Order: sequence, then C-alpha cells, then structure tokens
Amino acid sequence: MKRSWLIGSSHISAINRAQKQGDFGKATPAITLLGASRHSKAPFHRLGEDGIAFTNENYQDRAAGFLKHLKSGKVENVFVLLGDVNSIILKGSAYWKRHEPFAVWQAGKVPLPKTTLKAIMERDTTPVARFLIDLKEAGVRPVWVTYPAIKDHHPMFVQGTRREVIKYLDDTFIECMQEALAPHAIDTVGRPQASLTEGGFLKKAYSQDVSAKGKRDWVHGNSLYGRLMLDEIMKVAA
Amino acid sequence: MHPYTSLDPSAYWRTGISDLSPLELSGIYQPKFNIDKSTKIAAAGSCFAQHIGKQFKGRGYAFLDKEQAPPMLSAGDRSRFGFDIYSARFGNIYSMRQMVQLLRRARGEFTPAEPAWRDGDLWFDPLRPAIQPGGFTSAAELAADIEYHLSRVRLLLDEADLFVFTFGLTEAWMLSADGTALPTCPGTVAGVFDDSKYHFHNFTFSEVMADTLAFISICREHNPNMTFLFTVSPVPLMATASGRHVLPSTVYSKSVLRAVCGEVEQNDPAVDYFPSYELIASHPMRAMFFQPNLRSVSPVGVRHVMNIFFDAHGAGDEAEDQSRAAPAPILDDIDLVCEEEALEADAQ
Repeated sequence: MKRSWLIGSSHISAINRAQKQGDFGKATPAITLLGASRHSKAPFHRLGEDGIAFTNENYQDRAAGFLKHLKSGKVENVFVLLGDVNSIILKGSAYWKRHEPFAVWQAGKVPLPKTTLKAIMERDTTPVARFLIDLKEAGVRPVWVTYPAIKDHHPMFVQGTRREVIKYLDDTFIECMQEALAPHAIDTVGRPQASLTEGGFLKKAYSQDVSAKGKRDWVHGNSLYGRLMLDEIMKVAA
Repeated sequence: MHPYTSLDPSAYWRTGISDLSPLELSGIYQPKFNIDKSTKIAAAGSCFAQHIGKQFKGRGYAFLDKEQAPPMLSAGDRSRFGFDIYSARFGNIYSMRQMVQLLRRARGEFTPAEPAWRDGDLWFDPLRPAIQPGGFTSAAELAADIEYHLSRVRLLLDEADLFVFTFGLTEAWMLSADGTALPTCPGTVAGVFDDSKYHFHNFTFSEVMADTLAFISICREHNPNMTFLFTVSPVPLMATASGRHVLPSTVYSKSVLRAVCGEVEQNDPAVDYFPSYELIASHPMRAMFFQPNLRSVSPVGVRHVMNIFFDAHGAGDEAEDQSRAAPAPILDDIDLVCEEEALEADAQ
C-alpha cells in the first residue's frame, strides 16, 4: 500500500506532536523533519536519473529514510512544509517599519512596488517550488503545505509595524508560491480556518509560546494547531 | 631658449608615450582638489559610471546612497532593480540634458509631458525605463515611486560635497511634445516607438555646454561649495541613429563630451576632469583594455583606471589591498546594467 509522507522544516514539529497524541492509524503520513527552513532559501536538491537527491548537507542525513521509500515507489503523496515568510518579516522588522508595500502604503512611509516585493519573495519561494515540481517529475504527487500564519500577538505589532503590512507580506509569499506551482497543477494545503483570527493571524490558542530550547517562540504553532493541520493534510491525502 | 626646452618629459609624445609601456604612464591625472573619506560623494552618469560608484563604495569612501535596497533582495536583483549602482535609483543617465532635467524635476521645475508608459496592466517610467523589471502594477504605484525618488534626489543635492558625473552619449531620443530627453529609444526597453511623438536628437557642443553649466549652477544652489569630477565614458556607442557609421558617430559623441569637460574644467577651479576615456580608449592603449568586441571595458582596464585615480589621491595602497581582496565582484563589467545594450538585439 502506498502512503503519504510529510517532510519539512521545524513547522512540522507541531503536526508530529499532534500525531503522537492521537490515534490516527496508518492513514496519517510518515513525518520527516528535514531541518531549518533557512536551508531551503537556495537550491537544496537535484533531480537526476536516480530520482530526487538532497544536495544540502543539512537535509541529507535526515532525508535518507524518506528517499529510500520514495525510490522504492511506495510513496504516493509528498506533503512539503518548506518555505515561509518569517525571515523576510522578522529579520527585516526594522525595514518594514519604514517601508510598506504600495498596496497598503501610507503617506510618510517608503512605498515598495509589487514587483520588487515579489522579487524578494521569489528568492525564497523558487527553490521550494522547484523541489515540488521535481517531485512531480519524479512520479509522486507533491503538495505544498502552508506554514502557520503570523501570530496575532506578535510584539512587532506593539512596536509599530502595521498589521496590514505584515498580512500583505504573508499573502504575497503564498501568492508567489502558488503562482509557481499552479502551472504544474500542484495543490496547496491551506491554513485551518479555525486557527485564524478575523484579520488572518494565528490565534494565541494555537501558538507555541516557548521553543524546545526554552526561548520565546514567535513563529511556530502548537500541537492543537498541528492537529488542525493534520486534518487538512489527511483531507487532501484522501 | 623657448617654452619647449624645459618641459616635463610627460609633455613630449616620445618621452610621455612612445618610450613607455602604456601601463607606466605617469602624471596623466593630477587632481585639482583632494577627495578623502570624509568627502560626501554623489555619482551619476552612463554605464561606465557604475564602476566608479562601486569603487568608491568598495574602498570605504563616503559614497552617498539615498535609495538603499531592501536588505532581503538578492545581490542580482539589487542591480536589476537599480539599487547599489548610483547615489539614487536614477538608472543610467546618458546625457547631461537628462541630468539637468532630473534635477529640475526634483525641484518641481519640470514635469514631463509623458509621465508614464503603459503596457497592458504594467506601467513604466519613461525616464527610468529599466529601473523596475516587470514594471509597476499601477499608475499610482509608479507615481508614488517617482515622488519618493525625487525626494531622495533633493536630499542628495543637499548633502553632496562632490558630484561625480560620467558623460556617455550625445545621441538621444526626445519627446516631441515638450523636449523631454529620454534615456532610451521608446520600444527598446519599454514604451512603443511612434515617430509622430518622438524624435532623434544629437546634442551639439553648445547644447552640452549649456546643460553642463546649468547642472553646476543648480547643484551650487544647494551647496555653494560643491565640487565636480567629470569623466567621459570610454565605451563606444552601441548603435547610432544619426544615419552615419557608428565609428565616426562615436568619435563625434566622445569628442563633444570631452571638449565640454575640457572647457568647463579649465574655467572652473571646482571642476576636475579624470581622463578615464584617454586611459582606456586612446590609441596608445592599443585597445588592450577592451573586450574582444572592442566596446566593453575589461575588468583589468577598469582596475587600471581606478588604480590611477586612487593613486593620484594618495589611496594607492588601499587600491592594491582592494584588488587583492575582491577584484572580480567589484570590477567585473558583466555586472553592469546598461539599457543601451537593448539595441544590440536589433543588430542584423
């Protein structure tokens, strides 16, 4: 029997925890944590005659089991949770206080044209999209899994960054990814509606507050979020 | 005795040129004024000016960059979107008319009759057609970007101590309705060519001279002590629309620009001329600093020219360090962004 596999960055930890807490039987996907999402911001794989291989050393070791099953032809759906807007928003937090995408721009700030914004996004989305497209080429059904929405209670909002700006950046990242995947008919697992506030941010109830290393966590969902996400994935896998 | 008996060897062709290797010429540039790392430098001009800006930045000079790139943009996209090249996102400014027009526009004294070009759902700036690959997504977005750009140009004028300008071309395409000088022929990079709306113009010596004096005058209204460093790009025309062969057209263009620089530099103690044109394109250099197409300047040529410049300003050791440290990324001319090269696609 062919099965589904979920691979990706640290965002899959929430799904992994949810899966361990519940009784989902064999219908749930196998889960492989590849490593940090920063390694997917440059080409990290190749597609050769022997199929998919990871060229990024950080992903290579952990991906061995997944690749073995992939090559054996026992994998049908590959859910990929790689690529997120967090580094663009959070590492550029000072930038987004002074600059705003033109679509949500307010006088007094520097307007950023849409095509410049998309170039920023595509730097991060292109390697992930290429991976998904090559997975399809390799004979499986790839599905892109969205990362958790930006946290509604993120401190940057208190520090002066407008919500409209952050929401627009998040939407544009997803738009860029889907634009790259659409010509290849690659589906997306969207965010569970129940996890979102009216404004489209992650509700506090679904937020992981402290990281595994005991630090404040401003990007990940918790196991409740993981449970919702797992339901979405299983709907698409069915 | 006569005036030629006591001249420096560099004043004679034999001892200044024939007896020497082209790499050993001395005294070819004697700066009129000091440029040090506290001098706030603005730069604009044709493609070759990009080398000068990069060199000033790379060597730690106070190079003004009033429109900085988003930090998340890749290095390649920074150049594509006109960041990190000049002191603002001017794009290439091939003629002095364009430069004066930009300053007047920034000061609210000029509004082009065609503020935007539309191509389907995309909009382009006729005066910076290559600055936004993929175009702007609305006329309002373009207008906001232009407004911000012009505000940064005003700031640049207020802050600069030294303005470096590299003259590129005398040939230009003009908007017939109001005489706006365009950086590229409509239809090459953006826009649609229409001979009822646009016409070709080859600037004369008097026109370039008048524009250059106007440029200096405007700058001095912002900073009476501003100094100027002029250079002429050694890069030949990609193509000429003059109806003549590209070689005499290039020589005309460069001769006019060189002559204007010469006259202004002789008459104004705050204007200096750096002979990058002579150091690359004159016949004693035997075309050794050009790529095989005899147009693009090689990285070695750029390094040679810039080392002479920085040596003359007492920063030669730093120049050495710099070339050892990272010659290729700073000097490789394939990184240049030249709208004019769009013309080559039309060559038969």
